[in-house]
Amino acid sequence: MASATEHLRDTPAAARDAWNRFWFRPTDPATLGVIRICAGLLLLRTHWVWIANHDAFFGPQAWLSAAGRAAFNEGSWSSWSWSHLLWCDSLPFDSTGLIWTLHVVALIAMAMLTLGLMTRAAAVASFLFTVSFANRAMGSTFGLDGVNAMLALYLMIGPAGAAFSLDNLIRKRRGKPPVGESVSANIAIRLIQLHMCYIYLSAALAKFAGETWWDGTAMWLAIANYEYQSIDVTFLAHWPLLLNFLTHVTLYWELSYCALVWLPRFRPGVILLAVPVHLGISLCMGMVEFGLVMLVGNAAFISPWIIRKVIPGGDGVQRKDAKTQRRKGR
Amino acid sequence: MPSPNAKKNRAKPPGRRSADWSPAARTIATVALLLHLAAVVLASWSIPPSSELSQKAVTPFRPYLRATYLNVGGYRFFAPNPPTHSNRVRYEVTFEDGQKKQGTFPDRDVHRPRLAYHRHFMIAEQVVAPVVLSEEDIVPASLPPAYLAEAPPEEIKRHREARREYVASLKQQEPALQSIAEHLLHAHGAVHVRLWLVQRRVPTPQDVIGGAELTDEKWIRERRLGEMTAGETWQWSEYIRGERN
Repeated sequence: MASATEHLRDTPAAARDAWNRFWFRPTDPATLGVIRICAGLLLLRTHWVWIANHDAFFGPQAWLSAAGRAAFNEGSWSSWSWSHLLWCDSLPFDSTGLIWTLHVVALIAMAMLTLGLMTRAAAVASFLFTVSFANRAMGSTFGLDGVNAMLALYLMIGPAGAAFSLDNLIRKRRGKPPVGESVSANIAIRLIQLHMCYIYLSAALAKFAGETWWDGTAMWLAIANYEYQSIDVTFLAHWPLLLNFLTHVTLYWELSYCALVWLPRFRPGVILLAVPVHLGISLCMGMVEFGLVMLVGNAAFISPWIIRKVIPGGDGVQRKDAKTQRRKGR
Repeated sequence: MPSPNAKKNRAKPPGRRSADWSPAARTIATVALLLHLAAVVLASWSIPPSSELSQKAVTPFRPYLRATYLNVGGYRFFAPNPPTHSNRVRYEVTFEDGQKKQGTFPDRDVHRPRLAYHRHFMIAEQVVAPVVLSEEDIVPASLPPAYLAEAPPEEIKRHREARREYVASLKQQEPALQSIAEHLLHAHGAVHVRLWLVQRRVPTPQDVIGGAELTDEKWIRERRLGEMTAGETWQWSEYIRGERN
């Protein structure tokens, strides 16, 4: 009885300690640095394509004009779906020059984020432009834009420019020590990790309501949809059991991701399975950027010591420290 | 459980390690994290079909979710089922001299790179296709006279109500279709445009084994959406208006 009372008494403190360890333990910003580079490249790519199609998506005669967008953007609090492009359109003068100037600023900000130059400011600007473009181009957005915005949001929080960045080189040149382990790096990584878990859990739970994910035909519907198709793999029609297997693996992988990825024994397998799943989407269904951005999100589960091992040197964190981190299982 | 010496053995990376956060900073961060995570969870949880509870719970978070673009589609990729049809829009523009030109969006040959194609595909799928997905979605303007003669009054009342909602929903979608029509008129310098929704059914594995191609015409079904003349307003087709018997 006494031990039960003690246990109850200690539980809040243990929970608080676990919470603090999970969120507020400083971590090496190497993982965040790699995510910054990959996400930055994808943001650049996404916005380059947006801007190259400016007239179609943002011009005065865009596919969805401001009025057309308003019809599509229904629901409560719709005015919070802000966009600088809408504000520019409502100015009492021809704002074409201003819009193009801001397009260039957006691309520069995303390039700076990728390179890690004035990273914090670049991250904030990249996030704002990402949200703004996506909000203006409603109707033509899809999963890529949501994950882009999610990564850009969390890159603002941590010291994304503390590793593998021009900021770090400049710091070194000025004789300043590199940024080491950081609490905010840990918070940013944890947020990406949790968000990825929730993305997969939501995707899996929604699929459980669909009969094709149960009868094993969902994979066929995905690969045999001509408008999505970029590589023809319909020869798989001859292997229905393989199609069933791929359907079930996808569903159960998505469902179990949020639990198994936290267990060191299963984590490598869970993350490695993300590669064929998302490369399959990339290559067969023509959503290259979406497949890649999901893999970038998965990179949040790669421990910094692995990244230091793969990309040795740089940033002043030596290999022996990477080994120490490995021993600590971080 | 970390060993008592874990802290002592902890490696010190050569970089300058940021100071541990004070309890006050941790408390503020904890509140912010909990609010943010609640918003993320509720954003997906409240996408219809959803409970009244989730709808009410997400309401205070709506401004934050919209402002940060975290309110997107609930991450329900290819759920509950992958689509059994895909949608394109076929258009025919008429120029001042009476010449006509046809096209579709998305179009693999025109919309490049692939990401631009996918953006156009999403307009067809998300903006145009939801106007009408099947015959059953169309609420006809009038019921057949033979049916009306025998239908109970509550059935007729229900039809009137459904028809009113259907017309209101078309009215709401009109600006989007008008915008698409205006875009095509402007892009081609034309004076008139007609739109059709082109739905392509996904064949079964047995169809493909039997020699069918995904591009076969037999999988395609077209329905006329409507038309617009430059300077005028969008007109739904009789089919969409439910006025064609």
